[in-house]
Amino acid sequence: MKPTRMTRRQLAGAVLTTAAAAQTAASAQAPASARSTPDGELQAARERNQRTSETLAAAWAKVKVPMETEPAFHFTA
Amino acid sequence: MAELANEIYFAGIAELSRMLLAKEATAVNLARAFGRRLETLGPRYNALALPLTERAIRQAKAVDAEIDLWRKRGKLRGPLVGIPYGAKDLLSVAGQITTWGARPYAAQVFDYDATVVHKLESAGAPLVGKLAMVELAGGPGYRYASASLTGPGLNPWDRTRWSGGSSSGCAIAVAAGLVPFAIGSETSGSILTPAAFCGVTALRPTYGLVSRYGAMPLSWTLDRLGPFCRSAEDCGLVLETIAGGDRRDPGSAGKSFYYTPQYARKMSELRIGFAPADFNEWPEEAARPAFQQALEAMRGLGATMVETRLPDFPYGPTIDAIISADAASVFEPLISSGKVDELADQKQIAGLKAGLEISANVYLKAMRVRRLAREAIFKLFGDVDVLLTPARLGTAPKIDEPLDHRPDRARPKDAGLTALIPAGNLAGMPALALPCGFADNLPVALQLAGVPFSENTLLAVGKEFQSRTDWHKRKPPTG
Repeated sequence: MKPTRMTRRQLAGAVLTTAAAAQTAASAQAPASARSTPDGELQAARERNQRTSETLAAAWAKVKVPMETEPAFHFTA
Repeated sequence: MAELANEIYFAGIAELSRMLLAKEATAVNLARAFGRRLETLGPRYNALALPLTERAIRQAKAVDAEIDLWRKRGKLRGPLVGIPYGAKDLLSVAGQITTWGARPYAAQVFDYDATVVHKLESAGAPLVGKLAMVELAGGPGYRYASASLTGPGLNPWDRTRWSGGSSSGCAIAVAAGLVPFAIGSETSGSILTPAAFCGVTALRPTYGLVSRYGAMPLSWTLDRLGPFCRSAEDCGLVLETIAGGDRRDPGSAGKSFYYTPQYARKMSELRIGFAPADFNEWPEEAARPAFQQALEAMRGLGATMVETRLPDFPYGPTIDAIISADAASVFEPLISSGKVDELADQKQIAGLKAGLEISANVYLKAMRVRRLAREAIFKLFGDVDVLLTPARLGTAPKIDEPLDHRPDRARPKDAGLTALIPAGNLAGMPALALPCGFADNLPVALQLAGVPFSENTLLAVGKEFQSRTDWHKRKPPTG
């Protein structure tokens, strides 16, 4: 299948709905009672990471990120 | 020399310099006066990590000898000669304890100075104390203001409220007149948030403009150091001194900064981007009038106001993934040793442990989304020169309130520029926090952000705003 070509503006627009919804989901908190122990806190932290991962995956699925898009590392010689 | 008047504690850098030149004060006077005040009042707000008054007085004696020579020329060597300051306790000072605000590092001592500390010493600025901070600069997240070796940062405007973090001591000390300026750090909001809550002016410089050598790392592609001051103008003077390339900082941009207000563009030539929803819908109810009046004051500068909004990207989750993974890597020895459990905040402990489990795939996805987001944000600057939004949407929370608790209320449809703190950090953009009013007797502030290396533009707008308002001159009831 031929890859879809998008302008950056289209790309930004396409992420819109997914990103907004996912940010809301990612900010949701586990109930206080569930995280009152160290194990509960760790579980809550893992769940936050999982939601973050899902949010990024959702944005990724919505937009075909160009293969040449490099990670935003900053290195100087 | 006569005892110094109480007003000096809230004087700007230019006024203190004038006093030194006019022999109304000496560098030793200032170092002693600010050092003693920091020692006396700092603990009242949990703002002081380590007093360095005697060290500062020794520095100041050498500075006074130099001032005597320069006085004959009618000026001082530089704007910070003899001006005392405080440094966030994540900056190393040779031979002194540097705790990073965290119990596991309570006895840590480095044998070298951080580059900013060295630069300020070379500029003649005596360091009067290390300032308190949230443990490990907040790491991957914390739940309570008490997440600090020194206890919760107490707001000088109301000690039942939080100062904001993680540069809590910096904002408190400047707001309460304990130091004329301070150097803090930001990875995602740690300069802008406490500046807003405490009502001080602060600048988060462009990524790479100020060397981080000797500063605690939290997230290598995000961390920055910047000044807390009494005004935008003072931020410019301090930034000029601390900016510059440094081979010991792999993220250094290799650029200097010259504060040049004399070459600032006319306000009428500038376009300020803003989103009405940021001022009318998003802020807490009590803070809306202050923000709306501040927006009107900003309109009054004569710039063209342009409605805009951030491109929609998952800024929060993206920066969370990067910080969590980086912080877990930085502090892996702490985690694997089990000493991580000595930290004060359970959420912080759990976040560091869980951060070790973030996959390379997720991290790289975040860093690639970051690049797209940054490119999309920079396109906004074809239409505007700076972005304007409330720095925080309300006032400082109560000291015992969970910081991750969000009040249940409908979210406005237009996201506007509300994600500018994570977005601006992901994009390496500079930002300026400007006090702009009060709500419930607590300060609120604006945030101005621009493209990388546009500090002079932000400072020019900030200076103009502060020439027409006096919010930055208000003093909390410190006595």
